[in-house]
Amino acid sequence: MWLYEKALEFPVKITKTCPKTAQMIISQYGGPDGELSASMRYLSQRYTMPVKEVGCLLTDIGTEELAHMEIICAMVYQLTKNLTIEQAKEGGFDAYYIDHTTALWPQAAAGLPFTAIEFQSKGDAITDLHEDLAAEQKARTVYDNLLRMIDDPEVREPLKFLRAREIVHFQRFGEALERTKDRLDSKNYYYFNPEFDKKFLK
Amino acid sequence: MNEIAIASIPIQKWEAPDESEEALVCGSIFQELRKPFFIEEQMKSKKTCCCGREEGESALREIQQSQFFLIDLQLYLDTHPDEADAKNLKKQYQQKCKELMAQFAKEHYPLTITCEGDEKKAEIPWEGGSAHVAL
Repeated sequence: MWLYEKALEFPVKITKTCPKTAQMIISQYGGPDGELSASMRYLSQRYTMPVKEVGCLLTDIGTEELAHMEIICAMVYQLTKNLTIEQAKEGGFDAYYIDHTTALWPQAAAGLPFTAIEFQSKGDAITDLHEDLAAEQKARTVYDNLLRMIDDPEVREPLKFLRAREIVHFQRFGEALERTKDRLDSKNYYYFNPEFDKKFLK
Repeated sequence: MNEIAIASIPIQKWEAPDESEEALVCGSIFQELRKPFFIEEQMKSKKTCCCGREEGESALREIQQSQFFLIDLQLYLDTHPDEADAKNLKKQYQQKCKELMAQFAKEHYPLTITCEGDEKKAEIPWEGGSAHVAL
């Protein structure tokens, strides 16, 4: 279970309305490499992870990703909460406005809705941990791209924090992969599926 | 290590983590894991968003810093469960967070369902703090 805490993991205080920036950042809410996708990926994969510590890591990182989703949503919300119709039109936010007004809805920057098709839960620890390593790198690239485009320091500070977390998570998933490999046959890591053929685990 | 046909990542070795407020700003308690993007340096902001905080906000910031320390340390412990220094620090920060949360609940409002305090005073986290809330 989860208990809610009335605080963001990293403070967000944006004073300047900017629907254009909101439209870019919303991708990290509902886009292919976004925080919602990250959280669902890890929280789905953890149940069948054969190494207990790896299941714990997926729970902890999956939980942190929920907090990151909240940071992104707070940013989109603050960037649009005092939005005028003129700003929506000029900032290219008019199409979004028609369907959602200024409410939060998980979509990618280009308007594609959030979908579970963006992530995998494959039932093989080696495969899933490689997916997780790649996911952290993809999210980092999105933050790199956002940091190139956005110059408001109030927006950049939380983005820099989120980018830094992707690198930390990458390292931890790498270590989790090493821990999983310790339980396998180093002569042939692909001799069996560690999540399905558990009897072979060391 | 150095095997073919599978990814390998070196295991991080323990280093004393950064207990200052910089850790939250930098996104890691470990110096070794801080790898900024060159664009961050080029576009270094003259002002950060951390200034001009109100009293309740700086108390909240202290909680955010201590909790972040615990969150990041826990990820380290997930993959290094036997690191004694990390386990000791975890105990210290668990105690610190508990005390700060209780104090915040008493002086401001309860942050979680397990804290006792006046919920009517609670602020909405995504509003960005009292200075900018127009309720």
